[in-house]
Amino acid sequence: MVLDQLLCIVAPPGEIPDATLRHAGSLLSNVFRRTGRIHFAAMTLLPPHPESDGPPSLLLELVIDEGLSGPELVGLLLQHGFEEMWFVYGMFCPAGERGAEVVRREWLQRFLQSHLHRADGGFVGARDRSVGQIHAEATLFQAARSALPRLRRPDLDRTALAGAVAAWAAKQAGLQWAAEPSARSFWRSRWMTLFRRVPLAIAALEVPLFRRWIPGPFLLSLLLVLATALAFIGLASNWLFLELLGSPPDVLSTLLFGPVAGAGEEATLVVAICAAIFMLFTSMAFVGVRSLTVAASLLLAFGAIVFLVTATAVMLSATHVFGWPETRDLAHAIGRLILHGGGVLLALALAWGVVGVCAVIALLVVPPFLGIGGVVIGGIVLLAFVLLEVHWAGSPILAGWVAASNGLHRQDLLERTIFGLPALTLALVTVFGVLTGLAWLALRAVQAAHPMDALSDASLDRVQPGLVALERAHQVHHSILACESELAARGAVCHMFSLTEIRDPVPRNTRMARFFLRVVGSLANTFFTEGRLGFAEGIRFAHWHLLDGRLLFCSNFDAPFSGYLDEFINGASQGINLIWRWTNLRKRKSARPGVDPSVDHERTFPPTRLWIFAGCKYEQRFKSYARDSMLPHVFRFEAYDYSAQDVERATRCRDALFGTRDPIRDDQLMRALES
Amino acid sequence: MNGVDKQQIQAILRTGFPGLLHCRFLMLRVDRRDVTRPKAWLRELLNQSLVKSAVEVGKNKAEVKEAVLVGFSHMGLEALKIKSVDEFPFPTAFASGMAHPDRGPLLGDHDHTHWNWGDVAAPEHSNQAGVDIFVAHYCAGGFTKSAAKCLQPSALGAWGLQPARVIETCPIYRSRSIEPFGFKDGIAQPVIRGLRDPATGSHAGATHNDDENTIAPGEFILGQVNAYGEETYCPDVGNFRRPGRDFAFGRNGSYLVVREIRQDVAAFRSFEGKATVGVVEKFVGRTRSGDPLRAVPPDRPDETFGFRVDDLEGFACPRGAHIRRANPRDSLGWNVASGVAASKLHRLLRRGRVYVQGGECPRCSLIDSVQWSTAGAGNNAGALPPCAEGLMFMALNADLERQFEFIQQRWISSPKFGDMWHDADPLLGRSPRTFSMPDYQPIGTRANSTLPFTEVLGGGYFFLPSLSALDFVATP
Repeated sequence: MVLDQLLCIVAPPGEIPDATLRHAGSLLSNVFRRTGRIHFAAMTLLPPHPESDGPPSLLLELVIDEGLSGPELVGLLLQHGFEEMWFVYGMFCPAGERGAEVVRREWLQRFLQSHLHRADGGFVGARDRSVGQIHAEATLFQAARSALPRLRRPDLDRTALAGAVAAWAAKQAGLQWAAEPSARSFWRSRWMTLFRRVPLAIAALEVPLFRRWIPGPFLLSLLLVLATALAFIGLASNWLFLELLGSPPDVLSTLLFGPVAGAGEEATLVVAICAAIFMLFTSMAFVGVRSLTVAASLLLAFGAIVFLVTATAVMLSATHVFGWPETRDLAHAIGRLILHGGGVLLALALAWGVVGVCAVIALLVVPPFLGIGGVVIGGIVLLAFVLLEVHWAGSPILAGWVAASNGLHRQDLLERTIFGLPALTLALVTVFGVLTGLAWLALRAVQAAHPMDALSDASLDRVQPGLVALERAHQVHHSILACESELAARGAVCHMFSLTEIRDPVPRNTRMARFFLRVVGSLANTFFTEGRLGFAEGIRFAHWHLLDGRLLFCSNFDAPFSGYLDEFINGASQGINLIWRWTNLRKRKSARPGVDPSVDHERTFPPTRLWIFAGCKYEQRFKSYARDSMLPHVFRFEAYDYSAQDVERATRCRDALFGTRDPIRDDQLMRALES
Repeated sequence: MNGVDKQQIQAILRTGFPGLLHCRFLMLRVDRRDVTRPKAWLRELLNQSLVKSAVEVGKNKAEVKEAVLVGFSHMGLEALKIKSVDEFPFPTAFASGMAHPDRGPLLGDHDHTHWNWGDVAAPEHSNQAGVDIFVAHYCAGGFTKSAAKCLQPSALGAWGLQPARVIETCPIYRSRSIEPFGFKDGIAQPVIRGLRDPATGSHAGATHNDDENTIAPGEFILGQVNAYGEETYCPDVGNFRRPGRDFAFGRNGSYLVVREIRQDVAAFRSFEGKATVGVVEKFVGRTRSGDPLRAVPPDRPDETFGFRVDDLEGFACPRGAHIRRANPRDSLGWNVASGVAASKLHRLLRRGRVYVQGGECPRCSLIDSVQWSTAGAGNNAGALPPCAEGLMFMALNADLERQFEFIQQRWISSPKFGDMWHDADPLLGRSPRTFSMPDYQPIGTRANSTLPFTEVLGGGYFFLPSLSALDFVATP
């Protein structure tokens, strides 16, 4: 999990001696280097809360190897640099505990652990790579790059040259580690196709909801899971009894297997609606990062279609068995069907189906690389699957019930049902295919009418000139400029700390921010696994922390500040709006008067529309909001200075050098070496 | 007040005055003891209609014989008692200046000590002159006879202005649109929406793809709508607004980036002599006559080419070639549309001229414009006059941070540009440097150059006011 790698140590407020700030950099950098597991660290002073007059608090940002736990990290820090850590944090130790080293060590361990803050949302560009691996791979890449001119001969073509480089690598000593393919975590594994990723990611979205108490979504997801389970149990009981006993013991199954199987129509309906709302909620958030208008309209359209189709399916199934019945008989049949779990399952299956279809279509339609064929075929296959499953699952119950209530022989009915269903399914699938095609055409028509909107929902994102006063734009505090200048002089990666306050009402907006941070965090964990967050490139690490009514954002990126925010505005605006729209900037004092910036002019995040649109598209207001929220760093440590692309390329080079030779690997290798 | 107000905008935003072959740059220092005289001098420029507006130039307009561009550094505005109001201060980049020590590393100028001039107060123990006012004086003929008296360097002292530095340019290079290394320059300029005039400017004859090269006016003109659909931020000055002038001081102004880039022609020629044939063209990404290096034969000889579609890998025009770094066109982003949109956020209107060292070149300055515009047919570098010292790089933009500084930092100076391991801009990069030229069979090659080809000797950010703002500055 990405979030476990992104940490902050937030010390309690207190006056920090100048000596600490002066020497912390050189002391701690050595410690971090010695641990060998820390990618990046930076220290800053958090200014006091807007309404408080108190001292600043010391904040240490840490990015660590995947798989290293918080307690392990603290252990490593103390093992490699107890004295240094004590130098920085010892001032927080109450006088009573400043005894022998053992006592101090114990205190420091408790202190660090209790102030270690895991990110609420975050993203890691080069996943699955430890500090050691990055160093080793970069060394290997550089060695191969400098060996290339010696291996190059006029008679060698691309394949032969790649082979020669691989042969060279095989002869080098101490490269046994490279022979193993580079590690890839679950979400980056090679079998993780889009069709596997979508359902797995949807399922994974619920995990953090359970882990942390978020009442609304938690209850909904709990209900959903319970309802699914009960529906399956109900269905299984019906099937079991039908198969074994030949009669549907509804009273008995209700007694044995829980209320839903035998509950009234209202209860079932409530469960189904809850499930649908939950689905809507998760899927909206899920597809929101790409293009929410498209997804929401598709969701609504498909919701309507699914409702119609469900109703038609149930009605047609009933009429197929009963012939065209009296009104009372139809209601009777549907009621019985719903009563016995089939309806719940149907609703749930279709709700999941809708989510799946919407997700797949949002992913497939929005990028331009798949045409109408892909969408239609994808939609048909998915819907056919859902419908067939529903029909297959529903038919025994239906048949059983019809048999029971009409005194017919069940086997006859089943046969008639089974013969009847494929034809029905085919008809429905055809209707669906046509509707999908029409929906796609409508979408293209809308896009054609707004050619500039091709990127995404530009009409909603359109900025209204003059809506908000544009004051004090393009301003940078001298301390921030000095930090950026110092980094540029070292040729180091850019970095920003941004601290904003949660808007009133704070508890509610904190919850909203936390929820969307989780969504973005989950997406970063499950979908944006290959170095791009949304469409924004070059981000090495980005994490958000909710700290007592404030939102802290820490990020490293391979671009100057301005260009970085342009990437965000153009590549991930919806996510940015969802996270920052809950914040504002309030007047706050400087952490170090005269040195660090203060906030003298209050303002809110630029206005958003429907939560995700506009907002950061007010480029100058957004940039000045971000600029004014920034904090200068006290020091920074980076274990290596390779861009995200460099890291990726070195891994590709290693895999290409030591994997089995094929044209793709040869090409990858040659491209890496010639860059 | 919507739309581009051509009466208010300085003409340089519309044209580089290609017909005015003679140009002289005056870096002026204001006498702080008595600012009425410099203000009177500005008034004189206005009275003589030397500062042209965009409406006075262009197609079907009477030929302009003489024109002046006036820009102020932040220090210069302060010297002239122009103070911004608290709500609308000048952008930090402009206010702190290009020569600010903290800005050096960001722009790749790691050492300002050898600069001849800058836009900040001269540091102690340096020869760097602090420039308050930047003037470009364009003239059809030479400066000796017809040009305005108030712009003669010797006359400036009487106006309370000290010419800290006077730089002459070469009309021959201008007439042939060539820079000192012998390459055609000034190609692929953006077209400002609402200010279109395709036949004007150095790229006459080139047809532009509207979508890709037409840029929102707010990218160059303050107060106009920019590429994001927002009105570009306008700094404002106390007392500027009054009845009939209810807009900010900055409105219809622009920011001018000036860099004195010395070009070491001898080092370049010597490298070219030793290198493989065609390498220097790969450096630039164009042939000497200005044709882009293209992987697929062009179906039209125009500037609408893209990199992503034709030459993503850089087999023809290397990924780190100067023209790809300066304008990546469609090669960034995740598809052509987003790549073009991303490039459009970082465009510059270039107005540079080739300058000469130490006074007017006696041979070139006497040249009549007509004679050279017809005689400059052959483009071979050997025929170029040897007087050229370098390029006075001038570029206009509305957001220094997002446009000039971004291009300089992320594209020109970045060793990682174009997914490279460690390359530098082949012309502007620091030495020693590497230049990768991808190739398919069997693999690309690299060119290493140890000597720098260029060196920045001075630079500054100047505010180019609208004509009404200039009138305000000239008012005592």
